Amino acid sequence: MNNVKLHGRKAWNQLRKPESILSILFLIILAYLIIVPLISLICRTFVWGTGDLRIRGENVEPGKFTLYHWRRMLTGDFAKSVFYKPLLNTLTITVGTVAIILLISTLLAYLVVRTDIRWAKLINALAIVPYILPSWVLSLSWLQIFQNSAVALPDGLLFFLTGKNAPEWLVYGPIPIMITLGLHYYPFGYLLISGALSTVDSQLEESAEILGANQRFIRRHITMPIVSPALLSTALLGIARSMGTFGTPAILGLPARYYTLSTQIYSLIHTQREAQAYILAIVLLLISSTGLYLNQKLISSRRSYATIGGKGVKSRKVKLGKWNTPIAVITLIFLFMVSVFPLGFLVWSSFCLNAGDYSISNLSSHYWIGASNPRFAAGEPGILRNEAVRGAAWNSVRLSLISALICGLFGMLIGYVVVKSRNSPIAHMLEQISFAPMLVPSIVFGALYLTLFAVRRGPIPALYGTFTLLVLVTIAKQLPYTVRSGVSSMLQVSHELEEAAVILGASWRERMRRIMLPLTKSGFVSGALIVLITSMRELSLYILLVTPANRMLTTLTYRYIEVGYTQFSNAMTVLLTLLVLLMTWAIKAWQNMDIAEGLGGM
Amino acid sequence: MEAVKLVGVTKEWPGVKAVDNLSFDIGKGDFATLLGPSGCGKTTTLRMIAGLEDPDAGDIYINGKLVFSASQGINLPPAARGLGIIFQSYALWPHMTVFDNVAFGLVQQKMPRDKIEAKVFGTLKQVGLEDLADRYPSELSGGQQQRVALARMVIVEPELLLMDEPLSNLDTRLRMQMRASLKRMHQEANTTVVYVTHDQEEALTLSTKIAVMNHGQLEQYSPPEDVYERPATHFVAEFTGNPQTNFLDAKVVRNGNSPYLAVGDTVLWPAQPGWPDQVVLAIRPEGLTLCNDNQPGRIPAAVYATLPVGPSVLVYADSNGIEIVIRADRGTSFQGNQQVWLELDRSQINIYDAETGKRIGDDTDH
Repeated sequence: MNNVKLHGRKAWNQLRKPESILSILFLIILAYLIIVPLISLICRTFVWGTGDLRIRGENVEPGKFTLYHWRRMLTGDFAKSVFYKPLLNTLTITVGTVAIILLISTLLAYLVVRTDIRWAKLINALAIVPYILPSWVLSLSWLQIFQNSAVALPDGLLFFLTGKNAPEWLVYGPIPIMITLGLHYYPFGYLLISGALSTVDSQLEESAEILGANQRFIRRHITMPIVSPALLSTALLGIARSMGTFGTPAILGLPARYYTLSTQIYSLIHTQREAQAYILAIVLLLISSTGLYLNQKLISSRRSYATIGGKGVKSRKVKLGKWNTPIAVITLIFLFMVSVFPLGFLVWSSFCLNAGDYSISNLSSHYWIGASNPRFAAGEPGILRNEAVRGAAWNSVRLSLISALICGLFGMLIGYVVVKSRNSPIAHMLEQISFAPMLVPSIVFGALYLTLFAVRRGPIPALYGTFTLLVLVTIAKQLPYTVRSGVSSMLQVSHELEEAAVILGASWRERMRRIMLPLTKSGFVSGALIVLITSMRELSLYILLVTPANRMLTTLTYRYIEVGYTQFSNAMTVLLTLLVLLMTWAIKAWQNMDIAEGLGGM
Repeated sequence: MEAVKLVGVTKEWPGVKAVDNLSFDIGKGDFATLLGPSGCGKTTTLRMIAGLEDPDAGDIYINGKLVFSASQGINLPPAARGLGIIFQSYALWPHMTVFDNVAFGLVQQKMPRDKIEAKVFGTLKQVGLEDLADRYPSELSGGQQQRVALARMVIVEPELLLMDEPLSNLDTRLRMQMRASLKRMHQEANTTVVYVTHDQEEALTLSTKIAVMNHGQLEQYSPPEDVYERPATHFVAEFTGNPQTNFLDAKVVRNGNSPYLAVGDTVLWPAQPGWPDQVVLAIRPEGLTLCNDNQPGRIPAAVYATLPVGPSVLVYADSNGIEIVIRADRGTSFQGNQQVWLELDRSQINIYDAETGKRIGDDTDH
């Protein structure tokens, strides 16, 4: 009896600690932002929806249990064209994309890290550019280079220059989707693999050499085993990312009625077959989360590799000899073609008055600053004097900044709780849940929020079509990035730094304000910066959630693509890229200034 | 009234008892050292006194006040316990100047700014850092950082000062200097210090009392001379060895009515009737003399290494499979495998029960 009371008091003392209060608070918030939407998504696939009433008419009672959707999605002709075919397409594209990612990233990483290639710094800098650009820059320019009147109007650059038409398989469908996705996503593989390669101390290889092993044996038995976790990681992350992407398969697939799971979800929701779209979302979720789960397991067992080399990694570079300059030039041309050229091309073609005519005489600033003219794009004014664009830009900037701030702060606080109470099950659960959104493809995440917030639920009003909903979905989806930087920067602050303040009588708020947050400021900034950049150019996450009243730059761009206002979408893409670069640069500059101030002594 | 009183304090981590039913008192003005190998529970004990860790059971009193009691549900926050702590890492806030670091405690007490300034500079002067008030911690040497950490805690005038291996990050010379200044500071300020270390030499030189801990339990709690000369257990004798304590397995031979002590075939001295059959003799390298001839009571051994260590020579020898270290005069030298005989200084021997490891006496007890 007394014992029970004691245990109760101990538990109560534990609960009164600030980190416990915080962890419970965040558990509630995350349950609301992540768990509830997931459950709601699953439930909605088992009931009739209001859309079904309109489509099927009789015998349908919205809200009542049914297995109709699952039966329809898994068996019969409808399932074949709406589920199995898109699934197969998705898998095909994923495999192709991952192959391209692996090929390019391994080659580039090897050249930069392990050879004495010329201009290595420039190559290294250019190699990451495609990832900074919005994902559809490549597909949009691809389309405008290869498209032709045999498939769709107007003609592309290729026809303009050579008068020849590209075959349809090169314009639309799996091949161009794989290539453009691969070219967009390879940089993260490049970063992973070059990181792993640079931890291989060449003394490891040299010792094998001295013991009489030949080069092939060394590569197979020493170098490869050390790099292989990074390769596998690249492949799994590639799967998870390319599966849920929307923009590229929409631009290069939909015109030829080539569907992937993500574009199929979009079209099902637009035809009010939500429940069936959610079933696809669940499938997509299962596949990509398996990939990420495997990757997570891999990383945790990979930690032992991190210590290889340890101090002063010495890397002996392979000499390229007379091939050095040719290889470097080819590499630079390639990088130029996948990063600078597509963007440059979009700039150029946004100034072409008539689409498909790339001659200088056709250049005009109409699509940038022109007044409304019924001859072009149904009288849409140029983007810089266009009300809709201005509204969308303001929306995008506002959304990214607000989400980045909140998400960054959440990340730091969750990081604090997780690090502070490492052994508590609540903190562990909190960490797990906050990483869950990484497993959920963006388009699925949009679908989750669509189901949950479309109607009023208890005290929470219907949020569909509001700015708040966009902020919520951004915070939830981007939380893994800020939590990761929060945890790692909190880990770097020794617990004794906080304890010294505890001893001297500082309250929890004082400790956060004066010790913990100032010390982890750079972690906060880098976490928030990731959120800012990602949400500025995020399309898949918002495509299902925006309404004409709260469009973003990305969704408005997609709108222009859908209705075929090519120059508008090009100009918008360029504008977006410039905005992202500008914001990144501004924040970096501001942060540096801040650090300099801090060192100058206050 | 004791400065610190622990009663049955226990702390369990998942799977291990870090501190197991620990009870002892620290007198006012003592310099008490918790000594033991890593993982023995000494730092956990210190952190429980500070209030940074909550015990699972037991009571803690500081200066007569009950600050923690598991049974009564009392748990005073660290700041209300009137103590200061110096961490091994110093835990200086890297984004604050020396001044701000030292002033932090006074700012928390809402002291007026001009008073803070006077007091901070006063304290910095005491530790010889008044010229470095505007520096950041990263711009200071290890010894200076250590003194800032000291100043930061001393400034709030705690009645009890806790130190967790404060000197272990310093190089040998600086460590010796800091030991001297810590000892002086303790004598001048007359505060109570609880000090944690794994370095037995540090414990012996600084403390007025040493608590030797192992596996969360107290092995011995006595003044340093006692710990060194009369280790209470086999473990304490082993842990305080420098470079190591020699242990010889011995048996009590009971032929007729006068039992005697023997190591191998060597007959030593008469034994006490109450002693168990199997005992262990502990003797430090200083208590052994190397001899060239075999006489009764001497133990045979073979020299295998001679290590000159400045003022003396350490001779390593093998006696019946056991490694023995002997401290000999400077200039002594032997050939490899040379046969020698060891004479034991009876006054320097401690005898332990082979089974329990408890000290049952020394040879001067009778």
